Amino acid sequence: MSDPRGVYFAIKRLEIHDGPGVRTTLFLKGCPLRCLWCHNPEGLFAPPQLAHYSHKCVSCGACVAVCPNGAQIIIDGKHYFVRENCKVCGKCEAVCAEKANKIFGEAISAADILPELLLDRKFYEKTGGGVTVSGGEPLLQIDFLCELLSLLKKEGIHTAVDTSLAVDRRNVERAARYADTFLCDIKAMNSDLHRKLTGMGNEQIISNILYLDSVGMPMEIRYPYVPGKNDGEAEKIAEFISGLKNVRAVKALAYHDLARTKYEALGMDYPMPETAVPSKEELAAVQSVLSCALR
Amino acid sequence: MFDRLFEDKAINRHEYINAKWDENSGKSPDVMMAEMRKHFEDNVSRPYPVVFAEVFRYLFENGMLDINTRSPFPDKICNGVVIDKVAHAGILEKLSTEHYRAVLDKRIPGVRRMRELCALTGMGIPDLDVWHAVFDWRPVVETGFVGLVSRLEDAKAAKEASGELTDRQRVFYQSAEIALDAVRIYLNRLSSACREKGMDEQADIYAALTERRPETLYEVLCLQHVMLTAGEVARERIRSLGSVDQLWAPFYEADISSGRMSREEIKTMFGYFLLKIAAEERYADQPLCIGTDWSEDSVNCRMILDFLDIYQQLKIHNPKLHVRCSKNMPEVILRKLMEMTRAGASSIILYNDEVVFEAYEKIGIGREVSKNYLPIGCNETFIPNVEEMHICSSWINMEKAVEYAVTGGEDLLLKIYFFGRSEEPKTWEEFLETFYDYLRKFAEFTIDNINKQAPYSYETNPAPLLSTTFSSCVERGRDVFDCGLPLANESVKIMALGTTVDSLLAVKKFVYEQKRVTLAELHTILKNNWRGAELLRAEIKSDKIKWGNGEPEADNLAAEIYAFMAKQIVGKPTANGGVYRMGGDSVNFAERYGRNTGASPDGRGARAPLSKNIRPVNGCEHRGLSGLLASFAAIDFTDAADGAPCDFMMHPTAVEGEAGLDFMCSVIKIFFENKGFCIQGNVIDIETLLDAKQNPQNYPDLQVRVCGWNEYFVNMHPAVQSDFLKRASGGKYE
Repeated sequence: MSDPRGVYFAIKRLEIHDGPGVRTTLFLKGCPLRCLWCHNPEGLFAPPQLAHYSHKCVSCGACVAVCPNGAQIIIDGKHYFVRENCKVCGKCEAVCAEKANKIFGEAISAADILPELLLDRKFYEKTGGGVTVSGGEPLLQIDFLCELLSLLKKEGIHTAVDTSLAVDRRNVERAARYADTFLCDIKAMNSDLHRKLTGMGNEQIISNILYLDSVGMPMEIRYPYVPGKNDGEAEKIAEFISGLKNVRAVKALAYHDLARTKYEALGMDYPMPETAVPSKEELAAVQSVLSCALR
Repeated sequence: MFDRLFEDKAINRHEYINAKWDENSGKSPDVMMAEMRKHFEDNVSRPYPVVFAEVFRYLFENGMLDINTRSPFPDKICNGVVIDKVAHAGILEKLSTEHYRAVLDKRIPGVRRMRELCALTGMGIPDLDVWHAVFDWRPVVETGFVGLVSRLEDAKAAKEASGELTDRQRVFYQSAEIALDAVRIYLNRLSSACREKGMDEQADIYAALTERRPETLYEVLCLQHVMLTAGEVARERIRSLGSVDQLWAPFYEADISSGRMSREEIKTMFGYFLLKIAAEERYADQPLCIGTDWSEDSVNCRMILDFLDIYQQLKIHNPKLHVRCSKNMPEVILRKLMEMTRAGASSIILYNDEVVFEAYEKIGIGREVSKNYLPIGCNETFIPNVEEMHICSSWINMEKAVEYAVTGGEDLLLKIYFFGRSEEPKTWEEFLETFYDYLRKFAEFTIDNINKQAPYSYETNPAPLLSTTFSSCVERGRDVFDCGLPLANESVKIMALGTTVDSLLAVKKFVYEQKRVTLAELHTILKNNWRGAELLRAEIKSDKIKWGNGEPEADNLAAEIYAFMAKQIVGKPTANGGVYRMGGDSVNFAERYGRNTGASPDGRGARAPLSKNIRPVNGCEHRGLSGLLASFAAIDFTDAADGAPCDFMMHPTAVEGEAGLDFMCSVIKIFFENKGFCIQGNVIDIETLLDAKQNPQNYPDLQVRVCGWNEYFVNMHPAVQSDFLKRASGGKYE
């Protein structure tokens, strides 16, 4: 049987927010949730996608010359991207000097991507860091994920899985055999509200968290704080966490609207209505509520 | 003691620009200039070093003073100084530059034309470095001004008694005596002026410093500042205040143990001293060094922590801090330095002692000697009392060798064959050999031309005051620039490594491997500045294999080129009895030399900036700092450790909290474990820079690291601003 292949859309290096120490984060494509505020729209769908950043495009025509499918065209000196014609071949990305065309999504085997993830090994050693696999939802690509976590384990690298846990229990069980820690989101304790915000209820998520706690998996719980949407949930989440034994950290993550450009470039509607970004003070207050759960 | 430090901060800023010279205290700059020009003209037949020293003394006798009664360091003298963005161009600066040109024209006819032509080609300019000097501060601080005087007198008397005193030595001693006399005059004038202003404590100190060595830390700082000013007036640009932890610690300890001053009082005093240096705004910033002794619980360590504390509180960027790092550097110091860097202090440069020692070993200087090295200038090194300070004698733009290999030697912009013609290489290997042939020619040409000029260093640029601080000069009776020091070393800077490597790789892939174009076609494309070849250009620019990303192919090539250049330059004998050293460019000449360089095969347009020093091309670091560190690790800096740092940029959110501080410290540790030479960090918020570009009036104090020093962002040329933004944002903004 050939090595399982995964589709990833980004690697972020030298991260200090995705688990302990300095980390490299690999983002896998495809997610079962549709959170209104999703910051990584390029991670929602599994197949590769072309993002066209029209504000960078200078209508030079380089992409038109190489596109075999009529997806890149120029009319009266102005460039147009016809997404319907695009087969995501990547030829336009290779010739765009302005970096206006970018492919999100590349299929790789775990062995292929391993050297990229080991580039910062010295940082992991110095700071107690390692590799975090995020998404999208990494547990949807479970075969690839387990293969990768297993290879990293052999290299002695600390691993974290950053997940929504909105997946089948069996996937969680398999990943838990290899991963050193889980970073889990709780968007809302009220399941109806959760469904409204993400398209799914939270029963499976809560159940998976309880499972991970029962098997002694160290966890960091994250609460994406979105004013006007789930801002009444902090106390309930704190109460839930206080009943768990293996939560090592809990963090409030502030909503931001920096992903708008990506939605536009991917030809997707930004589903989030106009919402104010929370202030530092507001976030600190939420964080202090959550932190009480660990005392 | 003065206790209005923070209140006075604003008042102290820009004090030279807004100086209120006391017109009754001396002559106007115009009068001084006229009188001294006449003095120069009337004395052409007398030895130039003596005439030079006489002008120097005249300036201290006649320059107007401006005593700042709000500072414990009130000294300030007008030597006709005009502060512009080039230098503190004083009267001696102007007169001696005229003299310098006249001597060169007389001694080496055509040399200045040759330099102009070199500048036009953008290849580099073989020159003599008159921009860097450093006193041997140890005797200045330990024995004081009087110690320098008596050492000079003793040496001269000994030579006279033994009958060995030559005419040349007699000229040297005479010029040195006059230079020291100038300092004595200045100290006495300061004393009287302070007395008039009711500053009796300062008046007593300046007077005492003419009679005895400094006894307190305050006196040391007063003397250092007077000497620093004297160096500036003498156009001996003093590019370090020395290893201040070593110099100051004994006085610091004595002051505290005797109860003369408390730690807090000393911190305040440091604050005033730092503000004084910051206010003077010397070109390329005033460096000082810390870190020559990191013994656990040492006085140095405690004092430096206090010093760093006040430096951080003042939020200044000048003086810049050169930090010598060794394995026993305490974690608390490293964390403090990184905390400061994170808070925006981008004037902190960390040197790897071990690599510097190994590099000196390769030119025959053992650790017993090199352990006293001092970082100077931007990111260079020299060993006091051993080496001359020609740390930036010339630059070599390596991209020009790629250009000539493509064109068969034709300069794309000038249409001349300045370094001869070459056959068209048929294979990649032949191309690389042609490239190296041109680099070899550049190195030989550069060394040859520096060697032609170096014998006239003393005649063009005597440094009598500087020489009095070096025991070697005093004992030999020779000026620093007349072989007064054991080694008259020179250093050559290489530049545009990123553009060079990326260009070579583009030629390899697109000409010889994929055969997308022939070399002749590429020549035409470059000549046409990529017109009609936009598609190829875009593809080349998008290629991922670039220097600075930890890609083995690019890294190996960069390492090979660095080693090749080191082999051509390092250890070669200089004209005055030293050896050549080498390093990466530490001045931001990427834009200046780029203006005279044609389009390059990496996709760069004609006259566009080159990659800075040995850094990657802006916007090509797709693996960020990880890739940068991996690439720098490929270079063997022990072949040549001088000049360019590895400067990295981080966004504030990437380094927040304790984890962020851990991360920054680990960057430094890993860089040093990889045997990197020196490193400097910038924590920059792109949004602030963008706003500053749009609304400069709101950011008068925003400073950024340009290359070897800081610049006010809003004062930078728009093109340089764009280049900086491009780099800081990974190519996202310009």
